[in-house]
Amino acid sequence: MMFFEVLRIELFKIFRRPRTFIAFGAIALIILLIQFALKVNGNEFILFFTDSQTDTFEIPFGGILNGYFVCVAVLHIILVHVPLLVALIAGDMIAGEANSGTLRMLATKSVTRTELVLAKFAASAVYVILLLLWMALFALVGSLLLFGANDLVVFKETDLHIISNTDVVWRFIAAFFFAALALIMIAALSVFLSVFAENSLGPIVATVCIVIVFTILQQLKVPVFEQTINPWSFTTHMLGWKGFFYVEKSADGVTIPGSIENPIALVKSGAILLGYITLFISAAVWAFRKKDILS
Amino acid sequence: MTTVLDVKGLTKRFAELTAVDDLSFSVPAGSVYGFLGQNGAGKSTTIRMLLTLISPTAGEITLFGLPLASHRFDILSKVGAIVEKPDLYKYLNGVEHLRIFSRLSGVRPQENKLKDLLNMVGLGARLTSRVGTYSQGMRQRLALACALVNDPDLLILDEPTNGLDPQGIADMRQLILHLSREQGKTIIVSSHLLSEIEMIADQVLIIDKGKKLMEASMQTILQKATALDVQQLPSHRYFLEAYFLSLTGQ
Amino acid sequence: MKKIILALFSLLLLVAAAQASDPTAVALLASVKKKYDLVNDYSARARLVTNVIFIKAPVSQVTVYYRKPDQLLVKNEKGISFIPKGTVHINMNNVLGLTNFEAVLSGTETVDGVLCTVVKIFPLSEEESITRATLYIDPTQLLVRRSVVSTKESGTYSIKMKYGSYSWCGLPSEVAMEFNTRDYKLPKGTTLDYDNGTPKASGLPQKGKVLIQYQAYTLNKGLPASLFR
Repeated sequence: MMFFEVLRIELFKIFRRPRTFIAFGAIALIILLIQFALKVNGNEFILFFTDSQTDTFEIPFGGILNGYFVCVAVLHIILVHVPLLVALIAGDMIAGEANSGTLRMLATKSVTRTELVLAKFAASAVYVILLLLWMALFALVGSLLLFGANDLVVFKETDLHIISNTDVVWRFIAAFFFAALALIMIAALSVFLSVFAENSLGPIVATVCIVIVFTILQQLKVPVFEQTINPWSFTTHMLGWKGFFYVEKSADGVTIPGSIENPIALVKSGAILLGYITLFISAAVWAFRKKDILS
Repeated sequence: MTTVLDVKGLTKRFAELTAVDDLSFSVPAGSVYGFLGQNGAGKSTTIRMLLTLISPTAGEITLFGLPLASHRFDILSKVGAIVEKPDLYKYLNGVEHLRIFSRLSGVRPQENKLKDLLNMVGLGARLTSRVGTYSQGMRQRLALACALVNDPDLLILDEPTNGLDPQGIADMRQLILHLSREQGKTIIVSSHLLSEIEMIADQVLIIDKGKKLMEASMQTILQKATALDVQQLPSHRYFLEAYFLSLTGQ
Repeated sequence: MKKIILALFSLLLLVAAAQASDPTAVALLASVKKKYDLVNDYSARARLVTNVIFIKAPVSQVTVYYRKPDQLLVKNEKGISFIPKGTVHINMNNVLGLTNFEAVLSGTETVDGVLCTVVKIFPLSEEESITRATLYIDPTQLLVRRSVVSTKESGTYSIKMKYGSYSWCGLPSEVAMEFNTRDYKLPKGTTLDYDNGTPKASGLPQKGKVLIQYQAYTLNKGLPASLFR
């Protein structure tokens, strides 16, 4: 079975290209910028979320601005910025090779087209995981070193959740796993679009545009979209990593340690993302098997 | 004589264009088979169908006695090819290319064998240089090395002398003859340099507008060519060239 | 005309009479204050339970610091708690320590099974943050079982107290405080919430509750003023 051999080769090619490391550098830079901004202006940032409550409560600004809070703020960039970095690599997988003419060299070897697409997708997935590990290092470890640890406060549109210090780390691990699933889905979309293009710019731009359009549709909260598109839109479910930071509370108003608010929804979101991955990759394999390689 | 490649009724249509039309030919084992035609005649399309880059609209391709459609893995592990301009990974060096393409062919030669191969094609001094720094001729040589890395029984070379200087062309000619005569490899060569084909080919296929015009041994073609009125073709020094041009109506 | 003026004057006198401090009420308050004055300062470990519709918080371990007459601080040393600003009013000396006020008895009411005398207090100074207070006092034990305190800036707080081994000096074992909250709602799209199908918290009656359960008191050991800054 040539799959693992092709996967090794694809990973080798990915990490020999200088552009791969642009993504790692960009992530590190973005995270450092956010950390710097919060170090300087963190209280104002928190005030944005708590302004309506300053007359009623003592807002513990210093406590809220801790490493876990900063990490969650950083993870928000996943939705818009990191999909671009993922698309840069995944969208180039087939279209880039078609453009440079190396695709025909690969396709004339004794490796099936199915194995080729699956291995390229798997290599993109490995790249996503490594990108997220890098992000975890800077966003979580780096933030904890800069801001220290404390309880985590998560601000939602109509409520806020306080999670005890001792109940946080496993949530971050779960959130990173879910984020990996979400970004692997983006990689699958990019690989699928890459099959139809002879130039990697098309799939990269198309992937980012699709993510942006569906994110806007989701955030507009227009009833017709909320009932039809949003429940199935992958951008809705890509946010599932945040669900690990929504806690359930008991009848007397106290949060239940180790709980997740509506875990079934998370399972459903995960299943939908897996479904999209399966759909995109199956479609990519089907299309690539039928494709005449003329480049 | 055994046949390495058998093509029967091969056809390829792209929308309204029929690029290859009911083409049939056979390539004997151990021969150098010249594949000729003008630009747009259907050579590249045919070669791509042989290498499964394009799927035929109709027809059958049998390689090493096995149908290509159902035995792709077994067949392609014995085939090496250069298709049109060789495009390589600019950020990798020569040895890395050979390592990759050998593994994709299902073989894992020793490192010193890879270096020997690069020496054989004249790239011994540029083993670890990135391909981005190679000239066109050097890339052509590396592409040939990549085609040979799995020690194939069949080599398909589309314009193998592209970008080579006169010495390079002569070296390529000698290499093709060596691979065929000494190592018994079957080589299909498509080239615009009819003079080169005349010097190395045992058998020639000429196509035009996707159809076969002529398939014969080089000996037969030369006999037919000498029968032409050479006085009418004073600018042509080579019989193959003269015969080709007469066949294609020029 | 004369009759009308006379009637109006009588009404005014009646009102004035009603408004003037009831000596019984003042004496009761003085007795209670004497008991509460036994404590100059304390620090206490406590459990804080927050029950506000838009806050999901775990039970917190807090420390309550008090320094006579009116300094009180609830501090979560190891975590985060949103402490209502009105917790300063769990210190009864905020009300008992008023000097310029009027107090009237307002009947009796049962609080947690204890018959309490209801005393209404009206501060007379414009500078006081408290605008009115109602204390439900256990007359036999001289303990405030419930208080309702209205403030200029922070709204009204309803506080219920339970007492245990420190009832001799008026320190409660449990304080339940209820207060008004403002609606919590952020602009759409700013938080990019994950929609997990849970109904949103807004549009419901906005009253918050905190429960402080005292676990251990340390009395009269001296606390620095800097702690409360």
